[in-house]
Amino acid sequence: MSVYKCFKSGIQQGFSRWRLAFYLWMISLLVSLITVVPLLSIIGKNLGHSLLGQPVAMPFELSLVEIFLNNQTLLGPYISLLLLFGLVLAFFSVFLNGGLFGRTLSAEKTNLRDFLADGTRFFWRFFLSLLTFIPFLLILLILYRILVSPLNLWTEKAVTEWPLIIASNLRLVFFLLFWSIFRMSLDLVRIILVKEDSRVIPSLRATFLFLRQHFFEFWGLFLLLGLVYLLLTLGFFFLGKLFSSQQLAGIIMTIILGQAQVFFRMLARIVFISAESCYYMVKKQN
Amino acid sequence: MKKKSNFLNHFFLVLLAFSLVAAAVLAAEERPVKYEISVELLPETQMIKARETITWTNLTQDYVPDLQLHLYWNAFKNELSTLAREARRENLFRRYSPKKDSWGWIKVLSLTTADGRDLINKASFISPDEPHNPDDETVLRVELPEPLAPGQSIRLNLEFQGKVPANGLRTGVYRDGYFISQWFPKPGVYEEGKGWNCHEYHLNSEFYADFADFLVRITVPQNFVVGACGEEVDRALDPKNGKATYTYRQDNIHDFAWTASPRFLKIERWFRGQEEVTPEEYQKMSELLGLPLEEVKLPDVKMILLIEKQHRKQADRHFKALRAAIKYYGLWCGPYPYRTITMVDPPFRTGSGGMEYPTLFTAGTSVLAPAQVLSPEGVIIHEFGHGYWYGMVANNEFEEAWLDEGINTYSTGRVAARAYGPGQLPLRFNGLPLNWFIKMPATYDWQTDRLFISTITRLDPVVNPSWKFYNSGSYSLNVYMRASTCLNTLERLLGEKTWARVMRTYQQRYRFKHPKTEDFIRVVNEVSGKDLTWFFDEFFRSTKDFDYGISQVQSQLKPEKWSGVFEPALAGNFAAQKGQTKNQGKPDQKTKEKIYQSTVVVRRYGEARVSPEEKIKLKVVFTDGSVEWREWDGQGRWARFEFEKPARIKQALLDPDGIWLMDSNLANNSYTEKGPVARIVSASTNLLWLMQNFWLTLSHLL
Repeated sequence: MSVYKCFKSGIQQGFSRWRLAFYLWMISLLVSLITVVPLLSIIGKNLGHSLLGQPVAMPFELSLVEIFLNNQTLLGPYISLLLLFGLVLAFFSVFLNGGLFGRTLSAEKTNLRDFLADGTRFFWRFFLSLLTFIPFLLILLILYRILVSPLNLWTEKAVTEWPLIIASNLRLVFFLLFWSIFRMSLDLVRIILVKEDSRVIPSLRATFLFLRQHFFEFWGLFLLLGLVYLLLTLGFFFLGKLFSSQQLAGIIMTIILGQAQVFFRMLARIVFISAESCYYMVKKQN
Repeated sequence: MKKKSNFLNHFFLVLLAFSLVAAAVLAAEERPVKYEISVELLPETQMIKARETITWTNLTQDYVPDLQLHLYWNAFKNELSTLAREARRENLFRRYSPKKDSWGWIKVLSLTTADGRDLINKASFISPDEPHNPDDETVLRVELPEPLAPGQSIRLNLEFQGKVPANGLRTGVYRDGYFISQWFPKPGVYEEGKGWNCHEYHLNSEFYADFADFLVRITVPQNFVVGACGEEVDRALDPKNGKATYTYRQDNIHDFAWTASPRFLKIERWFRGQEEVTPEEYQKMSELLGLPLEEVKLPDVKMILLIEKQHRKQADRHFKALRAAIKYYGLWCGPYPYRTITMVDPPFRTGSGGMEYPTLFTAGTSVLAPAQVLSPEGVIIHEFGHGYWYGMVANNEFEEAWLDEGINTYSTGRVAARAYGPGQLPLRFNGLPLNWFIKMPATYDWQTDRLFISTITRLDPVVNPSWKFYNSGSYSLNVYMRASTCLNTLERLLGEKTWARVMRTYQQRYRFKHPKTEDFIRVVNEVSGKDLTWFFDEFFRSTKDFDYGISQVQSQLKPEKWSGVFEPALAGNFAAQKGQTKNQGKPDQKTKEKIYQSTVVVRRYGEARVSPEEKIKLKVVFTDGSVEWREWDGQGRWARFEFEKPARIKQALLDPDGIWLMDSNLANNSYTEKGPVARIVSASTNLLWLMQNFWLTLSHLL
């Protein structure tokens, strides 16, 4: 029952924190615009006044590929820039996660200043928590390799394609399940860090003790949230197929839907954290 | 009288019979090689053992002192073979990775002449290609007891063994499924005045051999289903030993491959020339090619499909594609001359898919193959097509691979377009076809073929020995796609009728011969009536990029009054010289409408040029609907075209007929006032959305 209660509470709290999701959406838009502008300028410069190769009719996608191939000398520097940007963004993400957890788990109303303040406040502890989780991640990967090794034996002896297809997809499912354990555990450490304003090692210890007692139920909650998230994401995908990208109305709807999906991702993250926090608090009180 | 006329009749009959026999003998003797091979598959050891008789005739005027034989399987013997060394050089496109316990080899155990002389001690491995590799064992030179005189034949009896490579190229074994190709000692091609053309087995090359007559007996376990080149003429069962021997015969082919697996289903159907092609289609073809109707009619062909049981539901798709191939290759290039064609869905994991042999080819498919994606159809059409380009018109695949791969890629695109229309680009994830859920762009082969020109042109020319390409990627993109794009361009340049006659003439003239690039060029020039040697020099033999484009389009309102200082006397003189009115410098009071001075600047961005005779057209459309045409010889780096009209330029199109598919950047061939805003906005927002999700995923990992 507490799983369902926390699931519901997580959704409610997630929607009440829509402003937080909005800040994150704005940041993601800005960051993405910065990285995508060089590509957009290539597209605009090459195709802005073009008849797209007519009368040699080609699908638009092939025209895009053509112009990127023709500008391939720019790709190397662009990718290097992207990697550097990615590194900077990695640190920035830890900062944003601090703000995200801080404001989600706070009873106060969300505003931008408090969000940034939380980011600063929790940055170092969140960064350390990530570093300390690397060994745990390695253990999970080893366990994953052990679990999928029978699949490898099976595919080695295959005489048709079916074992390969089934095994490949099973490996993906197992990987996602192991990843969910890693994600859920790291979330719990951070929830404890924020809720109890504690240090990293005590939070790790508390997480371990908590999971020893409530692992499967907690994981069940996480997987339930994940399943709903996946289904809703597929819903966005199918909705998007309804709109034609050739007409103005369709393009506008596609843009709105695309940004709605990004916003939904932010909101989903808040829901996850709220639900996990709710479950932790309920079980801790008991 | 009666006695005398009977004698004469008999005499003429005898003469006729004699000449027919002589013709047959002559025709047979024109082929320098005959093979008779008996091979047994030994599944316990994954080996073959065989006895082979090679009858080789010297059809040249040279005295030939030796024979050079291909022993292709030795390329998979160890890491020091030429093929393995070249494979190690590859980074991105590593087509072959030798693995422990998967080696293959071929060993000649005995080699004697018909009169019993032992030649095994006269045999040694050689490395005829540069850089020499003394460790390569794919070419065996056999010194003959005495040089073979012109017209003389020699018969060699060989015993050999081979270990089937587990992960070879184009040949292999996996569990009990075998695909056996390049498996027997095969003489190279002796060229008069030049010697043996017998290359080592290179990573990026295929094969070259003389036309020959084959008689092959294949012994396998009784439960194996066998497919091979040619026709099955005999079958013998040996229940005591649990074996079966299949005998195949085929004349006038230059290679022989076979396959055996207990997991094949064998299905036979017929292509009927009278049913598959309508009278109207025959008539149309006859008119297009300028040939009598009887010459374009197609014979019946027996189609044999060996398909893995896991793919049985796709049998109809296989036959539909093969019918289309037999039909269109037959109509355009000439009737298929053999009685059978064997289509093989290769045994699982033998690495033998997508390959051609005379009268047999391998395709390859997947259990989940969406109908919107032309696979396996595309590969079926392509590999059947190789029966024409390589099988019958047998170019040297080592030295001029484009003559079969490029011409066939071009032909495949034509057949697929005619039979199926555009096919969706494939998209898979973890073996699952996403085409069921995501609509990918539908493209014709020529559209995707031309995409990579800009990346590949500067690396290598199309006409290049296979092993001298920069890497496998350059080899593939040049000999397949770039060559195909050049041919598509040539077709548009010459027009459908002329081009159809070029291809038909080339196929018919060089059937069962070994043409070179020069022969193809000669046919193009002869049939078109133009000297297009420049085309081949510019696009096949060079590494020059071809890119013409519009760099600037401007329309400005012509001022009613020009500023500046104007001397009346000078103005009058100037007016007298130019034939203008005395009112120079003053507004033209008669003209009320606005006049625009427009300029279009075109540029040659690449180094390759069209011939001055083949002018590039420029079409300029104005906002009042009027159209102006100009021509440019394309020799200089740029040209400017000016217009004065009461309308602005709305659109400008360079090469409006879409001839120059070779152009590496078609986007700059046009200008329009109002660009594809909707498409660009859509693409941009999709890109932005993708980037947002990418960064979000990254941040959620942390």
